[in-house]
Amino acid sequence: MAYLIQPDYVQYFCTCGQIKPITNLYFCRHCLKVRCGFCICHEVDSHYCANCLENMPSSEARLKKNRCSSCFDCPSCFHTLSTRATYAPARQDPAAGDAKVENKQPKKMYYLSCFNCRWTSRDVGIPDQPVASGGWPERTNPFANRFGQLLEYFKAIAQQEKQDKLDKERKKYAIRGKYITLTDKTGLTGAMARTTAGLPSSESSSSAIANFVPSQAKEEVEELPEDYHTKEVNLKLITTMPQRLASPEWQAQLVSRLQPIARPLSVKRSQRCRRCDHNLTKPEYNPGSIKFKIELLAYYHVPEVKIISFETIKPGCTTELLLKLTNPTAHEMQISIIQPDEVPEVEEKEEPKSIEKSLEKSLNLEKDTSWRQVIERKPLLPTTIKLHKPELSFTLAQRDDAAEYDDDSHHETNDIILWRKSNKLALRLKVTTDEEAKVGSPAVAILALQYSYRNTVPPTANSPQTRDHVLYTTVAIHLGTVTQ
Amino acid sequence: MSHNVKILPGATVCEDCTLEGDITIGSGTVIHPRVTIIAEGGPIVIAEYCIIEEYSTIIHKKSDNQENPPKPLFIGAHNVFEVGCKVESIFGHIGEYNVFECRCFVGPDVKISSGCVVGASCKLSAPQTLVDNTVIWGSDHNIREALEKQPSQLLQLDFLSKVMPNYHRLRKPNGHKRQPSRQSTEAGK
Amino acid sequence: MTLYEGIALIQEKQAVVLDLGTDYTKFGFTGEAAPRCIIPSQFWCTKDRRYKRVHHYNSTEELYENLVQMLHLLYFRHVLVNPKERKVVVVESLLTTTQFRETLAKVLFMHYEVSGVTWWDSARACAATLGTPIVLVVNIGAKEAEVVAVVHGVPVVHAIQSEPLGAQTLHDNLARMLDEDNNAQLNLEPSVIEDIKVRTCFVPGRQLVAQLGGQCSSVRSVQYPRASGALTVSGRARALAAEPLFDRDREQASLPDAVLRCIRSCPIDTRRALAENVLVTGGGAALPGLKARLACELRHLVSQDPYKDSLHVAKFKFHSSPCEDNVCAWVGGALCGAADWGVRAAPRDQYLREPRLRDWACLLHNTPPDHHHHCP
Repeated sequence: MAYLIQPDYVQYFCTCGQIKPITNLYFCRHCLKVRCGFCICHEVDSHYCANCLENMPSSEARLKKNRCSSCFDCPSCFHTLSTRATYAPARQDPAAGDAKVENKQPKKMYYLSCFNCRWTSRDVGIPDQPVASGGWPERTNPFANRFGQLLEYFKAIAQQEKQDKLDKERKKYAIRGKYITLTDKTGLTGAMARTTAGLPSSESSSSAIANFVPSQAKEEVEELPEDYHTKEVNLKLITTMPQRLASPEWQAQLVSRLQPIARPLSVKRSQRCRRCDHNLTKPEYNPGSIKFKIELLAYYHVPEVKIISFETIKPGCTTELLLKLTNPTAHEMQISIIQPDEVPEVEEKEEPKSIEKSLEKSLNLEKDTSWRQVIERKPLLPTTIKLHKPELSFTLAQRDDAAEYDDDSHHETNDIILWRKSNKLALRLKVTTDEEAKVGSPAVAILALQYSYRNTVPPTANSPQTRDHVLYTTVAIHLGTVTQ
Repeated sequence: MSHNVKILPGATVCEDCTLEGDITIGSGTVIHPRVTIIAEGGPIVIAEYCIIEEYSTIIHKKSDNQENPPKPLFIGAHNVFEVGCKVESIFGHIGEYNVFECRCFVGPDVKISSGCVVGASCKLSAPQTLVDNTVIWGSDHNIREALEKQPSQLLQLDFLSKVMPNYHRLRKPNGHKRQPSRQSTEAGK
Repeated sequence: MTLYEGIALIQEKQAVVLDLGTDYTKFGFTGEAAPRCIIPSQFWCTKDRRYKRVHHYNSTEELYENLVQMLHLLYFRHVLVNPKERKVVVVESLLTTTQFRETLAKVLFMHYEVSGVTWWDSARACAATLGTPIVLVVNIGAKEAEVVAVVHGVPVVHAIQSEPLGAQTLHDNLARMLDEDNNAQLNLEPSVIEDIKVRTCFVPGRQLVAQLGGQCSSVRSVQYPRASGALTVSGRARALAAEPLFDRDREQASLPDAVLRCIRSCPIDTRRALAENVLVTGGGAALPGLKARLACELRHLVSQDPYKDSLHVAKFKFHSSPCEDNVCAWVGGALCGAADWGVRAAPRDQYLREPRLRDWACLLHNTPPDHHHHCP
């Protein structure tokens, strides 16, 4: 179970070895494995503006540099700016006189204002706009021109280098010249070295290279004014670091140079299992919707464990622990509680080799599984707290929303199963703490669940699946700290 | 004590509020229910067109070196005291066009000029002076200087003074309307 | 629209440029004049419920996880592109540890499955923003100040100077002086210290320092407003915060000494050119007055021992790069990355076959071909 502000008391082990609360885990129905944000593949699904909830096609988002065209953020406090309307006094046109009656109507003008820090676009001298959205002056990067020149120059050099290489290959030079190794080693600036060293550059030296003027060094450096240190500093006029970095292009140092920041877009992500490439989540396209088209969360497939209460953990003592188990699936579940080391080591084995399979493999690009060696790791299990394994396997009824209203308290209960109610039951377990457990260290009990799972994915022709599976999951239960 | 409260014609003052001490409320000012205004250190004068919202508290604190006769606390025109704000001042003057946002606290040693905004939940307790058009916001008390004074809430005042009588019992105005010219000269002091 | 999409498909995807600094991370696209975002190199760690800095790690595993989280933040919150099948240009210091480089490569190639990575050292990238053949790059970063001579596109490796004279040194010094001035252990947040430095501190000129002495009573103090009352930033703290950079007492480990040492270690025929092509950059160089002071100190020191006899450099000339100081290396990376369309990127399949990065410190890669230890 995960909480918003409390620590996560019950955590599950993902297949890749990460420990996370169940709400952060996914369940791939095709591999029948628990997955988490660390071991799945994230993809950008759609761009949208989180303020106006407008979708933007990704090509348009690329053109607009991932910024919304109608929403702005405050450059001072980064809150969203709102458009406010004022009535500008109607300008008396002496030439037109009173011929035009509608001219007397005050004209509506708009400016941007921040409700949090009361910054307005008038503060920095941006004139009011006659239209409510858009039309705000855009500032260009002051270095864009020079950057363009440099880019052209380097591109020309790279082009020339490529041409040279082609020429050399055509002429079939057997001996590699001295300067080739230099270029190979140092990258494109090697070609630059050649041109500047006055070496015979190739005939096709383009105009971009010829016209390029390298930066000129100056002897004098801009000094601070003489009275800089005696002048009073008004901190209200100097921007803070976050304000500067919010617009990397110009990084205004004075408050008077701040500009409204076009709001950055957000993305909806879809998530994919790395192993089988099936989608784990896929959001709906509509930015206003928080629903998913595909939503394979562990919360809907793996039995959930919650702590009801527990006795304080003391070294060398056996204490009791009350847990609640919930079956979230629509099928009956057979559950038994086992020791964590009893979980069979299921290697995600390669598919059985058959002629058809290898044919399929040769057609598709071979599935790349190199990520596994870096992502998967063996977690260290704390072993100071041992669980007394109840010799019991029990069935947990399917989730049935209607059963909530049934009054069925006459289930058989015993020492271990304290009560049952539709798809939930309470368990009493015993844990023994090691004598050597350090007082004050966190008390974590590990238990594993073996549960039956019915796969509801319709079997396809090339993957005949069994419907019923026995799966395992390992759970870490945080029981406060070890106390004396 | 509340018999010392002087409400000028045109002011909208709800009955369900605590007014203690010598208090004068200017015309056009709207005082919501559950407002507490305590003038223990001297009279409080509230000028025109202020909005004092629910649960806000204005206290004119007794100071150690009390002058005799006690100096009045003069609150200028067009101030907005938003819900739950608390202003304790021993300085004799709060300017005009200030906004005290929700649940802010202005301690006794803070001097407030005109056009200032104390942001929501900002606790100003250290002695300081807010110069004209200072805006304070956020938990870090970011400060900036606005170019112009905050716009007045005349539309809102208009609406409130029309609507409030329909839903609340009001206190009757008992003062005489002063000359607007005299008022403004006093505000300028 | 469909036509556009077609063109986009034919064209190589625009690569991203990553500059993972100690304090700030710069991230954006190649061919653009400024990064899309400059954010602190930290991420929200849900496990610990606090912000965690990428460069704070105890093990390679921890670094790996830090980098995964940081790149996730960069790709999906700021630049909004799929990392898969897209090339990356990484701008890094020549002195980046092998552990960091290899882990970053592993994260990029294996975890995010990028199609290729180009590694650019920050000195060459900074030099590229000028377009001049010989540049002496003085890069003042968060932790260290690095002086690297770039001669015809080759960093002179044996002349690299690196001193722990970055923003961190300034911050520590400023925090100490503020404590002294206020007679209290203030324990200010690093962000507050940085803010005080950025908004109030400056580097006084050489004459002014001599004139002021240690007191700086003529320097105006500043009231720095905070939620818990204003803090007085004395004139001394304002003026002398950056003084450790020019402090020669500790075995001549000052910034101007590092510059002169670097020039002195370079080949004799490049020294004059290097002195006439100095580029002072990095976030630390943006402090008002720092460049002027450095220039002044250099001109003074070169006539003193121990440089008087060994270094015959008459003039120092300074460049200014066409970008803000703190993004200079990034802009260089964006230029170089756009120019060669990622031809030089180490492709992913090569990395998968042999997970080894080229490195100047590794003899496998830089043994001269005619040397008898060279293995092709």
